Amino acid sequence: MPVCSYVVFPRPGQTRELATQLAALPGCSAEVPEEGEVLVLVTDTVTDAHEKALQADLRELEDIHCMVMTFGAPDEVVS
Amino acid sequence: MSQVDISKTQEQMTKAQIDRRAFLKKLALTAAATTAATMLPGVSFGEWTEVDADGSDIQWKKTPCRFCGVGCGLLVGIAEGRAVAVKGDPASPVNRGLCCVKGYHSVQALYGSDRLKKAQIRKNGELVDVPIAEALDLVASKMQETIAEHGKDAVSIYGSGQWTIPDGYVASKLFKGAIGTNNVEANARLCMASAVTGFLTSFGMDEPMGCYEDIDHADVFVLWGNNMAEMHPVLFSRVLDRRLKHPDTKIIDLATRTTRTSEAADHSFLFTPQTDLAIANAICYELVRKGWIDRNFVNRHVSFKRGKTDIGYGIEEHFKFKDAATASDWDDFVEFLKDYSPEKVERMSGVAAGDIRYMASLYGDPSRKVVSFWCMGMNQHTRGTWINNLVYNIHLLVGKISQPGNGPFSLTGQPSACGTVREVGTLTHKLPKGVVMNEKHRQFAAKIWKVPVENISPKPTHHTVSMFRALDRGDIRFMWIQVTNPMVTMPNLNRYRDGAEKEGRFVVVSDVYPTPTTDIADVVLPSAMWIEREGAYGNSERRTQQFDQLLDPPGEAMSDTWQLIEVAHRMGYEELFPWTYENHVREIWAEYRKFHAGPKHEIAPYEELRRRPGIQWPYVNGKETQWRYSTEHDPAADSSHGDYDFYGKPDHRAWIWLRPYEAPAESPSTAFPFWLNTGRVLEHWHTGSMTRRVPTLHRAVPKAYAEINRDDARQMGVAHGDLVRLVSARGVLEIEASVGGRGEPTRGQVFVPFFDEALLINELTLDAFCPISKQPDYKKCAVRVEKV
Repeated sequence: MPVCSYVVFPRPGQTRELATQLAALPGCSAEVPEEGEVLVLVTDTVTDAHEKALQADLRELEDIHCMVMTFGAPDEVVS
Repeated sequence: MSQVDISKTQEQMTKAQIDRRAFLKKLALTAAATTAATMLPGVSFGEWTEVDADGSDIQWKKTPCRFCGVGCGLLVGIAEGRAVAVKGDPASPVNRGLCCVKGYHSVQALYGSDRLKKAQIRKNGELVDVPIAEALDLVASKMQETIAEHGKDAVSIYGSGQWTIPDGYVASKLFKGAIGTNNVEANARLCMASAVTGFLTSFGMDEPMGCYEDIDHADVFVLWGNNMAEMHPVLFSRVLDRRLKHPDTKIIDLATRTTRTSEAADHSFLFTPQTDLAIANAICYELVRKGWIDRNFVNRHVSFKRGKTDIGYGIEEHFKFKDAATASDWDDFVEFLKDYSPEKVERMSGVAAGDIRYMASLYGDPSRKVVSFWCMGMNQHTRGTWINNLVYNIHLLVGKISQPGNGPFSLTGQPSACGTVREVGTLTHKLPKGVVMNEKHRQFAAKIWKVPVENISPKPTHHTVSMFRALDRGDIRFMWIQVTNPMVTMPNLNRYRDGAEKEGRFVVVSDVYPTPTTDIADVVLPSAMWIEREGAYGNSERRTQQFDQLLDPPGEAMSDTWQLIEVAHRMGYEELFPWTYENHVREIWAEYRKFHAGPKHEIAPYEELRRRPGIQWPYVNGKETQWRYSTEHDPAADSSHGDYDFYGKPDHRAWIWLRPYEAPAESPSTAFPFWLNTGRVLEHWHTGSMTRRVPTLHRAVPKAYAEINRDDARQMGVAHGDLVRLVSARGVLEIEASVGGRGEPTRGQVFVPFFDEALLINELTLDAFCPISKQPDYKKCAVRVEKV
C-alpha cells in the first residue's frame, strides 16, 4: 500500500495542534519546521481500507487549510 | 535448500522489504520538505536531512516531465529496471525541485495493467495480436497501395505535441520529403495554433519572447481565461511565491468561471464568453484616454495594421480563408477604439467599467511590471488569433515587452507542442524552417533531407479539422495516428468517428494503452513511452530538454520514431533514414540542427543537452537568450533599430492589429439556453489515457461531471450528484452535476472536463474554428440542460 507525503498548510496559529492531531492518526508522521506555518506529513498505509479511512480522517481535520501531495510510491514498489 | 536456509532467506527478504519501506518513507519526507522549502523560502526542518541515494539500489536520472508544456525537470529513481520514485530536479530552472501531483505520479503511468505490448491487426472485425514486424509490413504495404490507387495526398499522419522532437522530425521528413504529401498535422492544432498565428501576425516569428524568469520580476499577473492553478500549477506556485515575497504583487483572474485560480487571485473578473475581445480593446481605449502610452516605443517599434473582418467560422465543408494586412495608423487606431469605451464593454461583457479601468491602470502604470498569461481560453476561440493580437497590442502600447518581468506569455498544454510541432513544423503548411509555400524554404529543406526539391509539395493540404473531414469524405484513405487520442478530442466527434469507421478507410494507431482511438484502428502499434526511449521535448519558454532511454519498453513496444523509420525502410527510403537504433536520435539531432543554424533560432548541441536539465534557444556562443528582440539580451537583435528589433517583420516593427469584437459561432438560444465550456482538471492529463491508470489520480477524480452554477441548479431542482442530460445540436450526454464543487461557472453556463472516455463531451461540441489559425473553439457552444 502506498507511501505518500504532503506539504500541509494549517489554519493560522494551528500548526502545533494540527501536528499533534496528525501524529495521532495511524500510519501518519508529521514534521514541523523550526519556523513557518507549514508542516510535512508522511503517510504509510497497509491496506486499501486503511488508506481510505486515513483519507477520510484527513478530510475531517478542520485545522488543515490545504495540503499538496509531493510523493507517492506505487503499491507494488512499497510492498 | 535446507529449511534453515529458507528461513534465513525469508528473514533477509523481510528485512529488505522493511529497509525498502523505510527508505521510501525517507524519500517521501525528502520530497515534502524540499517542496516546502521551495514554496516557503526560509523554512527548515531541523531533524530532516536529505536522503542520499548512495549505497541504495536506486539511481536517479534526469528527464523532463511527460505531461504538460511547463516542462518541469524530474529526477526519476530507477531500481532493478523499474521506475520506482520521482522527485523534482532542484537543478531545473523551471521548477526548482517542485512538481505537481501529475509529475509526482508520472512513472506510475508506465505500469498500467493493460499496457499495449504487442502489435494488433484487425481480422474479421477483431483486433488480434501479431508480431510487430508483420504489423509494420502491413502499414508500409497499405500506404504504398493507397498511394498507388488514390494518390499521395490520400495518406496522412496525425501526431501531437507529445511527439518527441525526433518523432516529429522523422514524420515530417517521411511524409513531406520522401512521400511528397503535406498531410502532416498534430493535435497541437487543437491547443496552440492561435498562439502561433498570433505570434506570426504580430511579430513575424513564433514563440514567446520572454521566459519563466519573468515571474520573478513582475509586479502584476493578468491571467486571461487561464486556470493556471490547475493547468500549470508549478508555474502558479512561482507566481504565488513572488506575491509572498513581494506583497504588493497583484494577480488578476479574468475568466468565465470561478476556479482555484480565482480563489488565489487578488481580483477575479468574470466575463461573458467571447467578450475578451472587447475587454482587450477597452483596456487599450483607456490607456489612450489616460495618456498611458509609451510614445517613444510606439513611434520607434510599432506599425498599425487592419485585417479582414466578418471572417466566418469554418463550419462549411471546404471552407477557405486568407487574411490580408492593410496599413493603418495611430489616428485610425484611436478612432477604431471609440467603439470600446469601458461603459459599452461593461454592457457586453458583464465586467464593470471600473474594473476594466483598474486593469488598464495596472498595464499603464510605468512603475509596475506586468506579465499576461493565457492558454486554452484565448487559443480555443473562433477569433483566437485576434485575441492573441489584442493582448500583444496592450503590451506594445505601454512598451512592456521583452524585458525581465514585462511581457505577454502564451502557455502551452503539451510537453513538446513548441519543441516538436512548432519548431520541427509538423503542420500541413510548415517545414522545419519556414513554410512549404516558399520556394527557398523548400530548397533549403530538400538540401538537408537530400531529396529532390520537387518532392516537397508547395501547397498545404489539410489542417486538423479539414483532415478528419477529408477522411470522412474519402479524400484521405489512410491515416496514421501517433501519441494522441482524436476519438476523444475531436469536436463534433460523432461525425469524425463515423467518418473514420467508413468502409475503405485504413487507420493505424500508435499508442501505449487501449483508447477509443485504438478501438477504431485497423492496426495498433505498441509504443515505447517517454523514458523507455531516448528523445527530447521543447517547453513553453523555448527550452529544449533531452532525456535518455532509462527503461526497456514492455514486450514489443517500440518508439514512434523507430516505428516510422521501420516503415520508411520498408517503403524503400533506407537512404534517407540510414541510422542505427543506437545512434538514430543523435544523428537526427545533428541533421535537424542544420535547419535552425543562426542567431535567431540556434539550438544546442546534443551532448550539451544531455548534460543539462534544458537549454533555451536561441543558444548562441554557449549562451541562452532569455528575452528575444531586446538588443540588451538578444544577439540577433540589431541595435541600429534602437533598444528593440522585431526582426521577424520586414519593417523590424511589431504590428498592432485593429481587431474588432465579433460574435461566436454559436450562442445560447431558446432551444439551447446554456453555454457549454470544456477543459481539463489538475489530476488528469488530456484524455486521461495515462493518468486514469494511476490509482491515486483516478481515485481523486474518477469521472467527468458537469459544473453548474448553484442558482441555475436551484432553479432546475438539481442537487450535487444528480444526473443531468446535456443536449446540443450535435449530441446528448447524461452526466452527474457538480454544484458548489471545485469550479463554478457563471449563470447560464456549464463546464465539463474532457478527460473521461466514458463521457464524451466532444460529441456535443462544435467544430467551428478560427479562420486564421484553424484552431477549434472548445469553449463556446450552446446546450440544453435537463434534469434526468
